[in-house]
Amino acid sequence: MTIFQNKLKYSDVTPKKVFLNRRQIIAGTSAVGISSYLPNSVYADVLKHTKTNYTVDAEITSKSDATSYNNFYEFGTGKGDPKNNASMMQTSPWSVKVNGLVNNPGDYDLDDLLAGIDLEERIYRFRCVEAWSMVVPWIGFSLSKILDKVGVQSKAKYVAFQTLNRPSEMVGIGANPRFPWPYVEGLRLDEARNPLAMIATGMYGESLPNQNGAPLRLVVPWKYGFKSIKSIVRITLTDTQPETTWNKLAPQEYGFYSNVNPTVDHPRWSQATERVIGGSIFKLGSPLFSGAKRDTPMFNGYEEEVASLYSGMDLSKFY
Amino acid sequence: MNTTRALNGLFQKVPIWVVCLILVSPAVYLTYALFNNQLGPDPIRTYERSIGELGFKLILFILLITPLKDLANINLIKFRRVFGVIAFIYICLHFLSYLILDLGLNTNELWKDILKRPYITFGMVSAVMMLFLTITSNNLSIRKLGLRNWKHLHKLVYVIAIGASLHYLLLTKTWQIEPIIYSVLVMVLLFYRIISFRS
Repeated sequence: MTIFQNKLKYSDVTPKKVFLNRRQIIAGTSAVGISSYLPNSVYADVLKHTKTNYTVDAEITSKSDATSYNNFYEFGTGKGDPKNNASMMQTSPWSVKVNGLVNNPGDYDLDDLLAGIDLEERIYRFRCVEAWSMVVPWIGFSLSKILDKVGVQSKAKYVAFQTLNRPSEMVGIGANPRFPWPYVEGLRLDEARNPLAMIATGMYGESLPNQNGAPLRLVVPWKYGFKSIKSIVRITLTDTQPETTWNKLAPQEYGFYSNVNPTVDHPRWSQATERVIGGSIFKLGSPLFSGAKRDTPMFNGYEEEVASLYSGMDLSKFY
Repeated sequence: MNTTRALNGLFQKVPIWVVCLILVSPAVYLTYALFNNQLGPDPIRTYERSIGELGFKLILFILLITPLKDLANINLIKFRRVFGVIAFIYICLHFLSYLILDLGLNTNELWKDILKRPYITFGMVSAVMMLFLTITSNNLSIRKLGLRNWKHLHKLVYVIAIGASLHYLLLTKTWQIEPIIYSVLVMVLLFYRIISFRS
């Protein structure tokens, strides 16, 4: 359902910051330069993108909820901490190290990594392991586009990812010294190759706010949210299953796969239902309290697309 | 010690119903906000957590009353019973929000949770003990049980506090600061009682 094509690059988008600066110049010289003292996240760039058929039959979570209720422990463990603290993070320049079993390893400038890749909007369900959920309009592209670009060698079986680890700009790192920084995640290569697995650079029509994982993050909609690693600085192709942060912290609670599965409980709570973020307790015409809770579907509703990846596997063992 | 005397004099004059109103008002506000969708993106969790934490704070305050009297000569014993009853109201609301909002009144899930999940087991056992203490928090019960037995029974508040600490500690995804602070406070207050009981 391509509506229009464009050959613009990510870096061609006029940052709203520049846009505002221009107005400030027009408004008067006294205003020039003020914007450079303001935190990055105040400005979001409008992203050119095409619409797609990836959508869900549910209400999209409000942008304010999706950008203020976050788990991003590098900025603190409270749900509101990322929004309050993430503006310190410098996302430009940004480079991504690509290494391991690839034909074209190296440190890629973000623009080079994204060059020639068209952005599209996909509306996905997002299910946190803590039993809450959102519906988010991401902007990005299938992860396989990056894998194709860097050339995956035939021996590679897994993709590993790493989040930025910069304590001077991420106050949660120093506050939580026992946490095994940096945050790392991974996928099996066939999971990473599934068209649903995407790299997002934006949401709600604009570039990603820092607290949501700017400037680029993974989104794997059939897995619990912590698999969708934020602010990626390293992508490594390996032939062995990579370590993942939550698995290291509590192996009996968080497995490598972490597929959304209503039949396999978290040891401390049921995964059969979820709290809908922004859902109201009272909703006209629906049973009492039902607006804020819903049943969690298998693979978060993406069973048709991904179930074959796990055929023959005991999902209560490979949780 | 004029200030403590003045303070104690003031406490003697404050009617219990005023303290009641003050202590109940956060619960009234939270419940009002819940019913009007003013509790943010995750209202069920926010209500459950806030009301539970306030209940825990009240339990801690009850444990503070004796050391305050021993060490600072501040006498709040008059309010201990009402603190206890109101703490129980908070824990009831905490439980009800979990049962109704979270579990959708599914009692099968409730039993599964109690048996399978240690933090819920600790929470429920503490809540049931609180129920017993609340039922016996009247003069008739003191007369029927005898003061000595009644006092022994109400030492259960320490067991309740330990249960509440475990309930909170085991709930979080990693070691987080609030449950650790609460647990350390409970340990300190418990340690104080053991020391003062011996001497």
